[in-house]
Amino acid sequence: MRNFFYGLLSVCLLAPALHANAQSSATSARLAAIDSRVALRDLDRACVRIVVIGGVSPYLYENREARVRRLWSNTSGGFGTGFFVDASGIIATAAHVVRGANLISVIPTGSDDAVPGTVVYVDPIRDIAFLRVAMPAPAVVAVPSTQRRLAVAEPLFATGFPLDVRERFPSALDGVLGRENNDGDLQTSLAVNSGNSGGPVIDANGVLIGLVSRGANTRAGAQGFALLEPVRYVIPGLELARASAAVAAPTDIELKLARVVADAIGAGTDERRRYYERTPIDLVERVGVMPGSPEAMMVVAGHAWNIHISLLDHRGVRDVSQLTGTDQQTATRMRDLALRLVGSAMSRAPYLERSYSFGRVLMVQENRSFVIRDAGRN
Amino acid sequence: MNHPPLDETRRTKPTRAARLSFAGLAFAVSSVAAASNLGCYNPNAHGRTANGGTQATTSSSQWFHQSLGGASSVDIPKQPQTETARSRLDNGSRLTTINATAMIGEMSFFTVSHTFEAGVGGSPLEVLDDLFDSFVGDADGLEIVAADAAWRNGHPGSVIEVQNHDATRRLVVHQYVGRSRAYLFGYAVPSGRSATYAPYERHFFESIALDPADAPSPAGNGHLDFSQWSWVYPPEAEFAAELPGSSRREDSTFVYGTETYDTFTYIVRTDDARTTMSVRMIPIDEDSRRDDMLARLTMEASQGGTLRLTRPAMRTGYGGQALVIDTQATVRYVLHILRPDAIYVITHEMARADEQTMAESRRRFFNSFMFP
Repeated sequence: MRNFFYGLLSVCLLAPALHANAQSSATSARLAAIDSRVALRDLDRACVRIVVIGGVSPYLYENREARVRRLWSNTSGGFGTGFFVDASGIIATAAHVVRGANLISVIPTGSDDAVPGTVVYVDPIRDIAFLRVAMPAPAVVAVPSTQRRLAVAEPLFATGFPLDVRERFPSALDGVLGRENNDGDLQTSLAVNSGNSGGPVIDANGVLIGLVSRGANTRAGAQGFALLEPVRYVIPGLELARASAAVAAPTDIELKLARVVADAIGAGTDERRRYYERTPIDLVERVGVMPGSPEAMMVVAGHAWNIHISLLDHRGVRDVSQLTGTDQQTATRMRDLALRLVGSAMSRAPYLERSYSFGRVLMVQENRSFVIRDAGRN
Repeated sequence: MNHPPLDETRRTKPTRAARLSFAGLAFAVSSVAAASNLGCYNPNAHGRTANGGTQATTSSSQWFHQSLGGASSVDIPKQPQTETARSRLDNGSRLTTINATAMIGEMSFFTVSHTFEAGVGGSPLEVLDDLFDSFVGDADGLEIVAADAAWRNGHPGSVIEVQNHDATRRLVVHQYVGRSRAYLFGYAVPSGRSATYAPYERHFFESIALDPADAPSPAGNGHLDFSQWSWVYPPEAEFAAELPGSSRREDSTFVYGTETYDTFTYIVRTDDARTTMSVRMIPIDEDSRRDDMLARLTMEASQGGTLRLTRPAMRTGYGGQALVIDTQATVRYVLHILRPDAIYVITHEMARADEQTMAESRRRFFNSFMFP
């Protein structure tokens, strides 16, 4: 129990300072943005990257050079596109982007900073969801009050964040309307990719036609089209989202947690940076003192664990004791933080033992040598 | 070190019966490991190699269907040598163990199933945790290549892959725990031949069928007790919720059109049945008309009462609706959450006089519901 009390003590000692900090930052988040050398449309500025985490699973990572194998924790998250539809901070996206998400971070166009997103409405039938964020909308895509009659083969334009979640600016694409399917979906020739889900689609006059729901299932032999949720299903959902209460401005800790979520998935980072350089160690520890929900604890634990493993891996050693100086301190702090958070989270919410299998394996890792292979043998 | 040691993080220790099963399974793991290291190196020792025209086949019709007790079974590429052992545990209950082994060329297949007359004697997840620990402890001298959690027919489990230090043999083990049975499935092959024999490995593990009736669902007495809240996370229903008291699973059916769906309800209720809290899962086909089903469920929930309120609702990124229904004697709060494969009906029904006093408990119950 001594160690459990240590954790509580840390929380008690630091809580007043955190509270003061939270109060001082309790305004809408204003995030740093980077200018694009290519001119952007309002449609592009209205877009956001949506990064979600729903669980952390273990898998084995091998560094052949150092001949070591380590337990890694893999974030089973995902990302998609959303767009502001209301100046009060309401974002529309595809429901499947946020399904099963325990933590959601929203990154505006041109920024590397993230704010937490809160789902305020999910259509139970259609692939449509709305989030709220506490930040001013850089631009808004107006949702028409009715859907006009569409025409086959009329040109359509879309934008979004396909494939590489690290890209700061959305990528435009165009196509034509193919048909309306029996289930109400609009079939188009837009060449969407993973990550485009939830992105806006407009007509030649700039009027919103719908949002990207899914692309062609290439495994089923389909290719070259995308299905949209038409705007007529978006309209009633937006009214319900507008009726939802505004979300509170994020505290300093919540902003840092949003950053950790984005970093864990890989958004907001430069590919030249190694995993252990993605997030400042102090920031991870700060979030680790009071991350909020048990799910948040597990995500921070997974990220801290990965930073510790990444450091060992980069230095080509098998154990923290083989590191020196700052490296050793950093790896030790991250490892201990991960173990403490996993223990606390599991005691508060035992179901996490199932959904975050990483936690159970990590517990085994701590007391027994899970990495059995001798570094000198292969 | 400012983290709790392993023992402090355990909530309870498993019972004697469960501990015996760990010992048995650990022994089985040793046996598989030993067999894979000692018995199968010579490809000619047990007949011809598979790729050289062995008697084994990947054709489903020619595999041997091995029963493991109850409705559990697995396919093995040839008739295995089996051994059934019966013994009594300290508490007087019976333990039945079925071992089945088949060696075909360079491949080894091994299954162990324990049936505990009085149940495995602990939370299945905790039993599994100890199985996992036993394996890690027993695997001394072997390299653990990978480990992950797994689920099969509502049973929690783990998949562990090990190899010996000179990397010549590879062993894959699946472990699962039910209410009254614990299983181990092992497969060993020379490391370099994994790809060659992959169809056998795949067929063997994919054919594992565990008795759904033994899935470790909540098996409490169903009594509601606001002083004893506990998490329910049944593996077959994929949700987590905090319920007051000792929840019990009740099975029923939901008829929609020409289809009849088997449903599970996890419920607590007071002795006088004035108050109930429950989560019901209705598995549905992915192409079901969910809008129609939602309308039908609304009608069902409103039966015998008046719909006071309806509004949209959601949990963990899935949409639905919240309803409040007034009947003559009770108030019924209902939450419908739709997933592609199931509809969840979360209900709190109470006497009208209790509506205000139970508001906090209701919030705790409804807010806890999620898909972890």
